[in-house]
Amino acid sequence: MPELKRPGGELAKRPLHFIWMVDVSGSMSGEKIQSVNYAIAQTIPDMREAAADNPAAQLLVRALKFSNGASWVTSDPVLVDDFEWNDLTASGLTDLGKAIELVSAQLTIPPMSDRALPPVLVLLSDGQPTDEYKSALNNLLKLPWGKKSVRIAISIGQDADDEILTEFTGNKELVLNANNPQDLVKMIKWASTVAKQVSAPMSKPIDDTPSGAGIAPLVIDMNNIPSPEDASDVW
Amino acid sequence: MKRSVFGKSVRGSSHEINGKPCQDACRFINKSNEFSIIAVADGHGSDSCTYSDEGAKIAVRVFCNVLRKICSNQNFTPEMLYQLFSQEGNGKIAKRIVQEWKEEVSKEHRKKEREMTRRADGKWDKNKALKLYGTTLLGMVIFDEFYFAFQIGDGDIACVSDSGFSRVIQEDKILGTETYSLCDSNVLKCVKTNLQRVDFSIKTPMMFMLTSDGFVNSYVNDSEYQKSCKEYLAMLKEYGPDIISDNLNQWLWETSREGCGDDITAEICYITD
Repeated sequence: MPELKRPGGELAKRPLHFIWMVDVSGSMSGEKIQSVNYAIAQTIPDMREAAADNPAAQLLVRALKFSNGASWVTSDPVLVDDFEWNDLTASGLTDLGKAIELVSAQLTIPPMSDRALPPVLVLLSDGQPTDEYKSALNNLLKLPWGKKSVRIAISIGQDADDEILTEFTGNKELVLNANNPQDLVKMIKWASTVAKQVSAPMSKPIDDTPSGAGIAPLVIDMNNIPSPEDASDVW
Repeated sequence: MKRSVFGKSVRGSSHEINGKPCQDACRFINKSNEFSIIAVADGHGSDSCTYSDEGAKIAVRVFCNVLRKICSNQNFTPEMLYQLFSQEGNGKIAKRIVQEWKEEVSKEHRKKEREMTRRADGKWDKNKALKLYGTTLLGMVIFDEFYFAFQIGDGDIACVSDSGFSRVIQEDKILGTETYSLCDSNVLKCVKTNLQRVDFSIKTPMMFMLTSDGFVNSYVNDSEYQKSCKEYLAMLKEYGPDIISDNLNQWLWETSREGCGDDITAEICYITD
């Protein structure tokens, strides 16, 4: 049999966008932002390893911060192998709505591709939004990729508003409580593993997907979400 | 008109790594002087669809059997069959394919004594069992005078000739990893069909290419996918179907490895004078 060279156009892995959305308002200063910096930096090698185990997807990571307004820490999506965490400092307000607007602008097609895997958004916050976040969230959830995104929130300390974070995730179980530095590291680590789950090349019947506004697609296994420690040193 | 039909399913490179079986399936019946029937199915592979590889095999078998019975009826001329597809393709015929798939799956499930979830009223929850076998299904029957195409869920049916590329059925694009499925409770609403009279003599050489979604998802964008389909036709014209069939397995494996890592199936009906 003559062995012929494969015909065909340019091949590529399916892109998977993973976005850290970090609250850097004044109340996050001190131990909280230090723990966030430490934990995210610690998860990067694990994310790289997980990405190497799954050659089907191209894991692209980026981060944004929000306080008085919102801005990208990583201006363009970066391959996880090239992603480095630069420590953030905290001061100012909690403009969650601005952060959501920033993400929404990146979830339209283009710049997103219609062959991408569902994007993963991980929101870390310790307080009440100080801007009008509802309309920004509604707009996000109207976008095709906004609806399909996997949204996780890490609720830091006692003052975080879990109801608002649940509006963001669309699912109470995807609001992870972290009341101390140990929990925060554990929750951030778990959130980072979601990329691996989302990138598995499989499909599922649309019947399995809950419908309705604000309901997150359950493409992830929520049985292994870590429980918060019963610790005395709570934020 | 001569129709050559061949196809291959390859296990995705990611499935090789995680030990999952190939969940795609393909099958065809080629009676070159009468008709050709081709079918491709892509089992979902998600955790809720444990036996979707079997569901896919049953789907292509059922499609070929149902269409063969219809098309082999000696009392029907091709024109009568065209009229039949025109009246019942999206109705009774689709219903029969779905119904037979459900029956075959239920039979298989009972035969293998697999888990039988009970509903609150104590009866067997058949829908839950069907979900374990969830799959898409693409199929075509091609006569010298017309073709009938059928699709549930993702995947592509392409028509390629010297005049260019076209999709036989425009699939509803669902972003992400969800798709319509034979196991959906309202599956008949998700069926898409297309019946076309064609003067193949002015189009040949040409091909129909049915592919599972792993194929299109492996290309950087849709225009690269379309370019690939055209190049497959060019290779067929240059080397003929036997040599392309011999190489197809390797090509699809490379496509999965360098692309999306999913199982890939391609089934081709190459039509010449």
